[in-house]
Amino acid sequence: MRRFAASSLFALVASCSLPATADEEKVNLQVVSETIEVEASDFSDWLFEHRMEGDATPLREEVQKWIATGRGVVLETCVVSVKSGSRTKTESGDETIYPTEFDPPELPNALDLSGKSEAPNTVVGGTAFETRNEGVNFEVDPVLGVDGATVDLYLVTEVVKQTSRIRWPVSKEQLPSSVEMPVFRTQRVTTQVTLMSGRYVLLGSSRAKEGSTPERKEPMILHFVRADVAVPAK
Amino acid sequence: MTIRFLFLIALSPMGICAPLQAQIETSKEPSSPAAAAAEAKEEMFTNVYTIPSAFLDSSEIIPGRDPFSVSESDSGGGDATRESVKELLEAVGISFPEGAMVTSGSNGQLIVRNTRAELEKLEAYLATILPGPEKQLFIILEMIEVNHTDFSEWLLSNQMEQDATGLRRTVQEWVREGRGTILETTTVMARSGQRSKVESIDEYIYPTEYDPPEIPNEVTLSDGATAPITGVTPTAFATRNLGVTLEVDPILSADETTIDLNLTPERVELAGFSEWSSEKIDELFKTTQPTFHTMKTTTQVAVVDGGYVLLGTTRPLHPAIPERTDALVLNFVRVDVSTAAKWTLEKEEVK
Repeated sequence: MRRFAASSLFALVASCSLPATADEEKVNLQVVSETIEVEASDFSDWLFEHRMEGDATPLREEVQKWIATGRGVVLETCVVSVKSGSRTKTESGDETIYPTEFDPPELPNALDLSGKSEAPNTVVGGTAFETRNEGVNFEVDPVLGVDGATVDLYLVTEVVKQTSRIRWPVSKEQLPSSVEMPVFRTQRVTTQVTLMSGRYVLLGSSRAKEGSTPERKEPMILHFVRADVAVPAK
Repeated sequence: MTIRFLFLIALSPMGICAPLQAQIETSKEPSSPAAAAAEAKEEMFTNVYTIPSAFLDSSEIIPGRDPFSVSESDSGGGDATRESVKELLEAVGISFPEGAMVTSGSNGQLIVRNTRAELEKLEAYLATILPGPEKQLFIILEMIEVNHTDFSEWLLSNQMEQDATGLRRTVQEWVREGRGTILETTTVMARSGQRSKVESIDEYIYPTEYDPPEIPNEVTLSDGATAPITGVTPTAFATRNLGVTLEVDPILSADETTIDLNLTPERVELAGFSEWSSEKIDELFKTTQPTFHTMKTTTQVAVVDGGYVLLGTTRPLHPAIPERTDALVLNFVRVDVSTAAKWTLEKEEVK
């Protein structure tokens, strides 16, 4: 009887559909990145009164209240599904190609301007270029923990926007040999964190130069991340 | 977890069993009436322990040995593996009387049938070897502009301590009274021993090299024609990040309350432009360069969990409010140690 009970128990442990380890089940991880703009004073006051915990879900819920009362706005939400141990990247935006090298205007070595002829005119020209991804870029390398609930994230989240162009040399006049270079505004966090499935972590925060609305004079950008372990149905 | 096992136990007598995968270790049947009588005296319990599955696959239990995995010599069968489970636990002082058994499931379960006393010894052993909770560090950098005179007066009447929480509270009062302004609050979550970086910047590209103006080597001018000439042309560029950058390399000490921080907080602003020419010349020939105002501190400090440290002071480019004619920026840092997840020893008793 004792042997029968033990055998039944062990057989059931082996056969029933219990959640297994990541390697066995190849579960998907749904990684959610949120970029939220809030009032800097709201966040500073909150931070002064509270300890930051590994689980930032209470803060995220507080931020949601700020959003509901117009004191915050969700700027970006980025979701990506990925298997544990695989690197993934999601990009949403423009690929802006801009010159990084220029050739100056050229003149002929010998020039005869008699007879009211006009001098040939060349302009400055870009000769080499680079590409910059504007918009939202989210790169993450998640590893599901052995307990099937904790997730290690190696990630880079960034929001890039071209805000202006600067003319060089700086001059009040439009010079024929001047060139323009773009200015990219970047909000980026590069870090590694561990979180529990379904719970938020505040990756970081930073001040923004301009608010999404004119009324928000002192905007603060909060970068939240959450990872949900999605076990496939059997 | 509890519900799941209760469900399993409820189904157990129904015989809904797939091919046995879990490895079972049972002792031999009592060989004598005396042994059977001894066993009857001591009641057996079956416990299912849920622990990190990697624990069962790791070699942390016995250094240099992987007791729960099948080695090359064992690959032909599971007997050696089962023996290693039992051998391991016996090696740490847990005995398996007749009728006792141990098995490891595939989902991080250790299933043990033994006496109450031996099970308690097993639980004590597991509690000592389970991995500790994962600690994370939340680093908060604050740049707060205050009146220079306020800070000088405070400095005169107070001694600087490593824990600057008192000063931070005073500064918070200044902020509420309008005598201070929080310029920046930059935070980042990090792990001990790993570098993290948060940037809120404008990538400002400026020229570092110019090509000079050109004229023809030979030129013939008549009828009032003017010689063509080109201006200076920027040809090479560098990028400077304007705004706030915080790069930090934290290390949590063994006591888990002190954090060594190696950090470089930086705030860069564009202050203006400078023109480089020996004399007043045509705009066409002027080269201009930007001037950057930088507030940067590169240092290493020890911070106690939850306490503030004053990294240092810097001067702002312009005061946050015009009335603050003599402004000083205080750079504070705070680190909150938190736990992301903690392993727990889950136990389900089956009588």
